Amino acid sequence: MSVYAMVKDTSVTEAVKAALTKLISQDLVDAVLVAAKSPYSALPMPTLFANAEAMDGIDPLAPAAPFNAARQAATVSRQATGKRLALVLRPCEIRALIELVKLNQCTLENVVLIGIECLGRMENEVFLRHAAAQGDVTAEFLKNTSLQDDITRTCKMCEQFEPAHADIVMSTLGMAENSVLFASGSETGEALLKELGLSPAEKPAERETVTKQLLEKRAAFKKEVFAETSEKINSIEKFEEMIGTCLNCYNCRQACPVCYCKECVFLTDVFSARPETLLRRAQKRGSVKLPTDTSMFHLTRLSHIAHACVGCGQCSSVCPSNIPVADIFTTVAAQVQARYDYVPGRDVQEPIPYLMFEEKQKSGEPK
Amino acid sequence: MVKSMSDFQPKIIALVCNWCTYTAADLAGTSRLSYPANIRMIRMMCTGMIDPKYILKAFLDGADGVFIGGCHPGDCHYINGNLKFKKRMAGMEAIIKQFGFDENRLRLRWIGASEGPEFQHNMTDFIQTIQDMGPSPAQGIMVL
Amino acid sequence: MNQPANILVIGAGISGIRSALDLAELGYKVCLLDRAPAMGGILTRLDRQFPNNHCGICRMLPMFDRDNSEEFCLRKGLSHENIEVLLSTEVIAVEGNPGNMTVTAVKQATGVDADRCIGCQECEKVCPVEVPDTFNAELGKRKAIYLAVPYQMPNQRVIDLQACTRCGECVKVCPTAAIDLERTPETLTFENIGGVVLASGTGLFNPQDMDIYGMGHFPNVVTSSAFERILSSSGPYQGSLIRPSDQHPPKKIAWIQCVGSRNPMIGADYCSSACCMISIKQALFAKERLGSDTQTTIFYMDMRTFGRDYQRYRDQAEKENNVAFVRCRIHSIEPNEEEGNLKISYVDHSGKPVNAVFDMAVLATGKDPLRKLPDFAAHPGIIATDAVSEWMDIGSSVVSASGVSERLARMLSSAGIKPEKQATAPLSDKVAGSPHLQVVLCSCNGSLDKVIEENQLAAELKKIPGRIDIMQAKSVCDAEGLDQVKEILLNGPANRVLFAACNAQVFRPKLKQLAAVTGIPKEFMDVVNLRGLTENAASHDLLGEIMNQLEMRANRLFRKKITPADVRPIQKTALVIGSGPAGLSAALALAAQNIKVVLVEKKETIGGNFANIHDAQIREMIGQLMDEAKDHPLITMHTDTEVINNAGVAGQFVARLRHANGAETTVLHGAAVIATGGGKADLPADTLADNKIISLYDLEAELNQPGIDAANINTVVFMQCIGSREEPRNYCSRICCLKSLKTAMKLKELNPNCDIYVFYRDMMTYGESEKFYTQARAKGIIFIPFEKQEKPAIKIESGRVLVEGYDPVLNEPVCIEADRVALASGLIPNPVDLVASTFHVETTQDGFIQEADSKWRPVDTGREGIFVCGLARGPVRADEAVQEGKAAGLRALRILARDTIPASQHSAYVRHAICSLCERCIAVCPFDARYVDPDLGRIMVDPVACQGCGVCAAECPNGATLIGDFEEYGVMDEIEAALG
Ligand code: SF4
Ligand code: SF4
Ligand code: FES
Repeated sequence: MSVYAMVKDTSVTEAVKAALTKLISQDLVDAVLVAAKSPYSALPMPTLFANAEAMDGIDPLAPAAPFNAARQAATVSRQATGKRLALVLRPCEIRALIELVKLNQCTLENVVLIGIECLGRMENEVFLRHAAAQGDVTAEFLKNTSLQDDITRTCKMCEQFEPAHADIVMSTLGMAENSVLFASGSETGEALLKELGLSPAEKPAERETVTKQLLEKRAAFKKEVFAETSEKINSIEKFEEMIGTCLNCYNCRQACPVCYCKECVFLTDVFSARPETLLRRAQKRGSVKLPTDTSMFHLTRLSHIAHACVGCGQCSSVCPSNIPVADIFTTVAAQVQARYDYVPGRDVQEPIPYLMFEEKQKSGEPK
Repeated sequence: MVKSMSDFQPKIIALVCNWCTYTAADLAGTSRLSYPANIRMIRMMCTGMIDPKYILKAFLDGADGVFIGGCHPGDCHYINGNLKFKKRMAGMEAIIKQFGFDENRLRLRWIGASEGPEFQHNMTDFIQTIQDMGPSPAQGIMVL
Repeated sequence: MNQPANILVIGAGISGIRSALDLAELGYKVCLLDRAPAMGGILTRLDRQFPNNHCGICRMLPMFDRDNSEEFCLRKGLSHENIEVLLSTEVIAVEGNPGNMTVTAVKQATGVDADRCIGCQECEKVCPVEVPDTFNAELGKRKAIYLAVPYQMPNQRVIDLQACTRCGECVKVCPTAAIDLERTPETLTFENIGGVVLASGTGLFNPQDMDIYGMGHFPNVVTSSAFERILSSSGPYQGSLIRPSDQHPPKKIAWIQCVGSRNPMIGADYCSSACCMISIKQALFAKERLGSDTQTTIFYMDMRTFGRDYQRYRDQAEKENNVAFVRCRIHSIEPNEEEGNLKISYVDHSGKPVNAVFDMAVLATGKDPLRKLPDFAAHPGIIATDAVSEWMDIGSSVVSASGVSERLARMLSSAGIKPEKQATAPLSDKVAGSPHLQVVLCSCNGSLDKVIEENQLAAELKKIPGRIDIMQAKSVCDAEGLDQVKEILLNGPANRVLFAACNAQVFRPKLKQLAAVTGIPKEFMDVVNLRGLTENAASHDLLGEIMNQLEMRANRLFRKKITPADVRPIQKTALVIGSGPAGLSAALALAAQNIKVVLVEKKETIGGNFANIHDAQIREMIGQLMDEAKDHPLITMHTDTEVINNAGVAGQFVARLRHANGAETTVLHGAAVIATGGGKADLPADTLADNKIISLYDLEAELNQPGIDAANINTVVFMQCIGSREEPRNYCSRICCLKSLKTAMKLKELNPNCDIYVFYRDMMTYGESEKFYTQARAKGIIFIPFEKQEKPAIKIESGRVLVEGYDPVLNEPVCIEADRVALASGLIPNPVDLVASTFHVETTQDGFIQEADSKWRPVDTGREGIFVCGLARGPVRADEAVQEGKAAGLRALRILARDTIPASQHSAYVRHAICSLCERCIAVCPFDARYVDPDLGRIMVDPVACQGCGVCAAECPNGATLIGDFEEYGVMDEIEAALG
């Protein structure tokens, strides 16, 4: 059973700040990774704090996320340092982080996961527009549902807005104004909440209904997008139309939190076609568009990460050609994940599907 | 030998394991168990070596079908490469299907070393399946 | 092969191949002979083996230094740099002494010149003579010119000169003029032969003359080897299980055991050991093929499921698959009214005569009692495998063959014959330079001219991107043609060669030859079967097909590179754990080859169960091993010591030993042999307490006391399988039946009036030990079978010990008052948990060490460089343990005798700069060949363990690990070329 605590302040951001700064000031952790504005931009970026005083700009509930911060989180938790870290992450970021743990890219040893109940993020330029217009976008966003319609297309179809596996969850749905609910998700979390000395609270009853409504809305939209996308890619010709403007910039793969390769295979000699090969292709087909292997890139990337796609939508956000990459990826990923009965981020102990195969059949068999 | 009425001569890539299925293919050859020539056989050491890229590459380059042949479970020279591939295969089927390739254009079969007739039968049957399905949707399309 | 052979191996069946490979892997030059026109013996006729119903023949091939051999299914043949295979060749005389022998052999004419035959099969089409197909147990027909084994590569024909009418039709059609019907046998003389392995097998009993079975009269009575062929897809019925008379699937099949075995009347006072399991396997396959309602009945005297995992196999067949087991010797097989059906008459369990009707009967035949060893078999310098005198299952043959290899290697090294060191010359600048391809279009004496001309192949080839030269040759099969090619390769710029000719397999020897002359390695040469493509007339687009092939291969050659092999120096010390007969013989095998051995024994003394052994012969054997080991300067012994840690890779391990006093020693070694042994199992806890009820071991000890007076021991009951062959210890302990027999006979010797009863489930006197069983019965010892669920009961009534059972012969209950009841409590392994976890090897459910493959790699473990033998692996007799120890020693020696081991071209390599260290490759590697080097923070590949399976590369998303010869770019190029 979770324990709950409520923090009320002049704004939700202040409420969050009040609680999170204590993590450092009370020496409960050595550092906190959390999204924060910089003096130069309203756009919150993942920032590592080792000093409570420096945490003034933190704004983890802002409807903006220029990255899926799992990558950054993995950078700071690449290996155990002996220091205790708190990572403040969105649900899709936590899911991705868990996949990265399985891929040996980071460790959760001595890490406190603080999850955010995420109502979505806006594309960067949309967020910046709102920020320019009205200062505290976070506060506005959390209470103004019309602003909530400005979140990304992928966020609108996200059903997993409540973080799983976090030690502590911060939520605002169904809460009174300027209040944030802190809930423990683990023993570590429970202990921390106690040590933070936040005032205990009950889980507000109305949360359930609000959550349910949102979930239904999201599910309906997801269904719509999947149907629409399936229709749009169900022949290779249509797919080519969708990716016709792809520049092979590989931004999508760079933005993808679970594309963990140090260097993408499409940048290696595996795909650096020899001039002979290109000439031959041109000879055979009449022409070759360069850079070549564009559909090969997308399909290969799917074959690599469809099982692990967490549906964060970053790939769409970064695409300079506005290709709805995430529509394609989430649609296909849903099928692949269903076949493997695999849910990324579900369980850090659960190996990725490719590492699980029917083992030895009968006795007398070599291992 | 299967003679189809249609003029459609499918292009088929067969990725076969060096140990069992390749032996069966050779055996089919020496036993005069003929099968249509449209099969382009590429020898892999083991089905476990088959990278998803090979399957995608084949389909995007216009293969009408991809056949994969390996040792029966338990017979794999590398203990269980075939089972590992089988696991990968499930995801590949889901992916190609989404892009409009009939899942049945990708086929995995276990064919043991002595199974020359099975090899022949599998080849003719696969060609027939593909012939019935018609050309791959990628055929004649400019694939970027 | 450049140097002449130092060793001859006679017989290219399972044992011969194992032995030849062992010795070749040690670096000796081996000539492998067989009088048959194809190699493989029974191996090519078997599809699947018990007790896992799988195949695994290929697992016999070398697993490191793989560049020396070609990797393909052994049914096709064997190709190793150090092995020359000579077929249709029979040794007729042997002279000289070990180390310097002269062997004379006759090579039969096969009518076909192997250098010219391209396997086109034209001759077979025109040959008018049909004879029974010997490959398929005469169940089908073949021509007089034929392919001896359908898998054989190259698929060159031979002529059955006995059947051949010399009509000459084949000569007319042969495109390469390869046939000469008038050829005569050739005499070959091998000089300077160091030693000879005799591995010619035991032959197979032919039941034709045994009237009771009707073999030869009733078509549906077949031998088990014929049944094996019927099951096979390469068999007479393409794998449909149908019976010969009417080609209908049988519904009721009977297996008759011991046909020609266990029959002193025909000179067969032995058990053929493997037939019981073969029949169970065949019954299971029959059920699998024809449906579970097929009735399968095995008529047997004793089901000899004495191998470690065999009892469970039988139980499963009986319980889960409903295979029926009927204990009896059948009376006869006769035809039934119904066409083709068979009436089998026998006397059942209750003494009632029964006539049962079956659709088909399979005779489980084994060793041929008439088979004689050749005259030269006893010549010094010739070492015979056990499989020439005993029929045995594959695993035992393999162990025995490796044991023989060990003895031969020891003999050679004491004669001062060392394997040649092979130096590989570096590639010349031209060869190492950028690829330049020479394409050779062979017209095959004009027969391919038309294709080449009509399709303007030369012009088409020029279109392939890359540097390509093209030449046409009339026939590269002729010396002239080949010289032309040599010339161009020597003087021209090309450093890659692609032949458009005929069957690639036929070409292989020519490529080797060319490589030797031109310095262009054979890896840079390839062949496209132009003839094959042309013949496949179904092709709609011949040019397309041909160009496809040529381009695929050309691309591969352009991409192909040879990386200098990464070599690993070898730590020339062996670690042997356990000092029983297995461990000692492994240690001595290695020490005899100048390898330092560290022998670790957990107990205070060496010798394993020596103290409990009473059999004089075995005591002497083990005693000798103990003395030899104690005195050997190269063997360091650590008693009271355990291995607590082992790290590293084959050739380079570091182990930590802990001694009883707590001190620790570090040992650097190259290979380890696990021989931790086992011992007697205790009597079950519910055994009645009475000093007349004792274990078999105790009775044996009692009778072996000096001056024992057995006059008061007048009635003794032996009870077999106490705790063995039922869960949780559901395996045969293998030694008890023989031990009971020997003890019983000792008793008879001491007190001839003693009444002896043996209650048994199945007497496991396999192989030659059957003789003891025969003798014991002759001595009047009474044998009473019982079933697991109806065990005889032991009671104590007013101080008297009574055994109550049921005698099926008398068909009534028996009650015996015994002076001694000896319970055969069986064997258990010593605990292996520590050793298994230390060496990262797996264990079986019964606590034995799991070998890599019980049939084909019986003394290897799943980890290269770690071997297992003796009781640690499964129940064995002491003499078998010695044999296994030798085999394990030899397997280890293949590593330890080298200075270095090179990585094979075709294996995995890692490109560290782009590796993300996700370790997925480590998780999927089936050979534990990958690991993280903690200091470098890198993924490493153990080039000895890596087999190049490529599963790591397929798992690695970004090509950070690739497989030599199968690099992803190359394969994708090939796919692209194939699709045109
Ligand atoms: S593929 Fe796109 S939506 Fe899926 S995890 Fe990667 S960036 Fe997010
Ligand atoms: S998985 Fe890789 S390293 Fe392991 S055996 Fe196969 S090829 Fe070698
Ligand atoms: S070796 Fe044939 S599938 Fe692995």
